[in-house]
Amino acid sequence: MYTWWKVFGKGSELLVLLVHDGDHNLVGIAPLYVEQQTDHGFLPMRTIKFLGTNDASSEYLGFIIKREAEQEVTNRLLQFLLFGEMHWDKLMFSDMLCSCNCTQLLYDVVMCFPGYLKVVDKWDYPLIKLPQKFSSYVDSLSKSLRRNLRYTTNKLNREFVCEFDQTFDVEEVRKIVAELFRLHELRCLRSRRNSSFISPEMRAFHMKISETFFHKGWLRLYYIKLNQEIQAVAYGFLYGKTLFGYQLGFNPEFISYSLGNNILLRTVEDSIQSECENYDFLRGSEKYKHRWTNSERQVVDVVVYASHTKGAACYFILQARKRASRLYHRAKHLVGD
Amino acid sequence: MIQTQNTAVLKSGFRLQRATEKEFEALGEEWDKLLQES
Repeated sequence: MYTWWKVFGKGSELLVLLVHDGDHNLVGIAPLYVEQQTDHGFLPMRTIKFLGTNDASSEYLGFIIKREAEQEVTNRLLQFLLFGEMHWDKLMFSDMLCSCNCTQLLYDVVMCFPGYLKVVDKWDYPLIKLPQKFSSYVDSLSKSLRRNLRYTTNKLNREFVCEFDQTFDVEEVRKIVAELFRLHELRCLRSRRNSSFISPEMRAFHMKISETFFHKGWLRLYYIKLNQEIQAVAYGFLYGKTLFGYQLGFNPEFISYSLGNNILLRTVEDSIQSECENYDFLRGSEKYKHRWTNSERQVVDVVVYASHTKGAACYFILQARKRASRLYHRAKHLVGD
Repeated sequence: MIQTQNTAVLKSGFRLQRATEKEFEALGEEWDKLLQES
């Protein structure tokens, strides 16, 4: 989080709240910051957010609280934020895992406080619940995906010296992360789309965080070499029993070899061999992810608007926009029919 | 809740403190430990 703050926190105000018990043990952290942002193009809003919000597309944000003190600490942190001397227009608690106890507590407390305008949005994202055997996982995939994987794996092995591996060498980490950015940029250029992942700040952040995570034993950096050249990279993190797949990159020149599918399959295989229980695709519900799993997990955003004029204006503009968007899609659907 | 500029002592005996950037940077291991206990 400190790395994120150093790269993305410029111009914002740090708001990390620590809670210690009577024996001076740290029992809670509210990792927050204050950003002066402009909503709807004209409303300056002093917004409190979790560190990690936005730029790096972080998820699983929230208060970090020792299990036995969750209720008490959540209440006190929210009392401090809602009724303390902090001045804010918007409190944005985003990307919290629904199944987490702290999220449920925060949600319950916020919804109980009267006098504030609140917006809750929930999102479902794909997650693979890994079986114990890789063969069982492959059997669970659709026939067409299995056929594609079999065909392209054979084709790769026939036409190239094809190696799948992961790095265990800190010197190599920077080189492979740089390759990931190069491959991602190539794909963006080919498909003429923009991606926030290739900004200089993102590059600086991932160069630093990949090394930090390597030293903690959390980094998982896989690659496929074709004739000794890296043509696909899978960048992820292992924490607990879950492998978090953060980003895939592959050379679009090799689109007919399904390098993305192949590296993902090998990554899942390695996760199963490492006794992981989940492979988490992280943010986004892209179609390709649903080809690999039927399971999902849910994240929630809880946004609280201050009840003064500016907060209320922002809230009502947001509601009007949401309604207009729903009407537009309904009309489009009807016209399409 | 008794509140001063940067700390507040809560009724339960818990102490709430706003960390400086230096304190935040120094949290490293304590942060990881709490994450595991949460």
